[in-house]
Amino acid sequence: MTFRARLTWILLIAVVAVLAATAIGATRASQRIRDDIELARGAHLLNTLKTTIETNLAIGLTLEQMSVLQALVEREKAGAADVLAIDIFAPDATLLYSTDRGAIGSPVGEEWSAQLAQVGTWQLDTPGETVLGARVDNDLGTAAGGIAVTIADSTQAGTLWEDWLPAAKRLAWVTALAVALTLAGALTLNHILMRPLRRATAVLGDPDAKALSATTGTLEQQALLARQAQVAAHARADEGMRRLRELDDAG
Amino acid sequence: MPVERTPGRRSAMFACGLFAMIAVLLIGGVSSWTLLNGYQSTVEEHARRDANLLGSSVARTLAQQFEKAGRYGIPFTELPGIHAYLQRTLDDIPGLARIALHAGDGKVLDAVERRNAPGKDTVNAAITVNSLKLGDIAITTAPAELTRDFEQVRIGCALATLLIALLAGAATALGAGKLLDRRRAELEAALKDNTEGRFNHDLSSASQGNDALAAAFRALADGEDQVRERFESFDGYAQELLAVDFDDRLRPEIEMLIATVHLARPQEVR
Repeated sequence: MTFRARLTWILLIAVVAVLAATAIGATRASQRIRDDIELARGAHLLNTLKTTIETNLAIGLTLEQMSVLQALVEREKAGAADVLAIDIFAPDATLLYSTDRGAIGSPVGEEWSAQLAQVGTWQLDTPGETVLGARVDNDLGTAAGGIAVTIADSTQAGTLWEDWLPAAKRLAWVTALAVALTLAGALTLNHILMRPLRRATAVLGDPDAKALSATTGTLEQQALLARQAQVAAHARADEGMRRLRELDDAG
Repeated sequence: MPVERTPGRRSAMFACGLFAMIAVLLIGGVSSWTLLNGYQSTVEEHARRDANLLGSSVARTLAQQFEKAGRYGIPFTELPGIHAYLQRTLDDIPGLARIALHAGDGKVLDAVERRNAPGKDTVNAAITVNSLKLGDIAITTAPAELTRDFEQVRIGCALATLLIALLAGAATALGAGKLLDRRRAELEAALKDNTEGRFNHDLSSASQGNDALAAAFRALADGEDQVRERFESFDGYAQELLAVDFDDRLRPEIEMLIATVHLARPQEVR
């Protein structure tokens, strides 16, 4: 591999590595930040619903009697595109209020109802979504039901494509520009470093080594001396031939 | 005759290493900075939208709680623990800069703020009882609070750029600059040999390629070939004459001629 090829490839690989490190780091950080924000919103939503339900339980209403909760969950979901579902279920795992009205009355999954055994909030992570849940307690401290807020992760395909297509475009043009600049830089350095060699080549190619006295620089001077030695060798060989012919003719 | 190297020249190695480091720092650094700005603006836009949604939700929840007090006819100024409650809400929820409770006439009844959180947008939720507006909750969002972690990415990317630039500098110095120094030293050694009358180098492998270095070796090899051709013609003619010089009458003069042409002592050409 030539010097120019080596120089160019090393520089290109280094610049692309910087861009790749930036893109990977920034994408991961962006996703983490968005996930944190979504989880914070989910946690707030969960806390709001829990407080509302426990306040109503305190005044003697049962979970089944809190019909206002259906409007509340629908309103909260309408304002948040990344909230996939809000579900409120009874201790026997029957779904009482849900943003999916068709599912009301059906049993919730085993993994949700099993969470009612523990006090406080819980979290289930599945590919593409996170479920934040909480148990609601009555005044006696026993489980009166459960809440589950399902939030889409920022890595979900639709969100990713919609949000990161501009980032991909920006990455493409920045990479193209950086590669062009790197190529230009590598070729410029190569041109500068090869200049004495090109001059030396011109000196070595001069048939008479005449117009070479003006050259400067170590390599050109060395080339000039070498070329002058070659021209002098030509002259000696020619003179030797002439003398041999004279001897031949005389003999 | 193999080409020997003249030791000591490392200028291309240092030039290449320094250039690569600066080029990667400049091109990579500016490109990285441009990309990060794009990512940050996207993240901040999302954070702003999310902070507004969060603020609206919090404002609505607070407004509903004050509406309960309003239904019982309790003035907000007489409710105990409002300030602590608002402060707790502000502390618990990220992305908020300020929560204010306003009376119906717009007067601020209570407000809590988060220090060093620059406010961006303000969302309001009215406190209404029987269609009568008793006041409102105003929440100022601070989306920058949500994206503070992005500054760490900038530091990380700057360090990665510096590290890659150092590696690129070392790789270019050793992988490219050293090669150029070595081959240039070989060329200088061959030129020096020519100057001293030695024209018998094997430059066939060094002449391969299409760069200026190979071109210089080719030009030198062409010059050496021409010299060797002339010497061979001369030597051939001299050997012919010596072969028919049965009485060795011409031998001393021919050997002197050979030595003169080859810049050698007479005894070396025997």
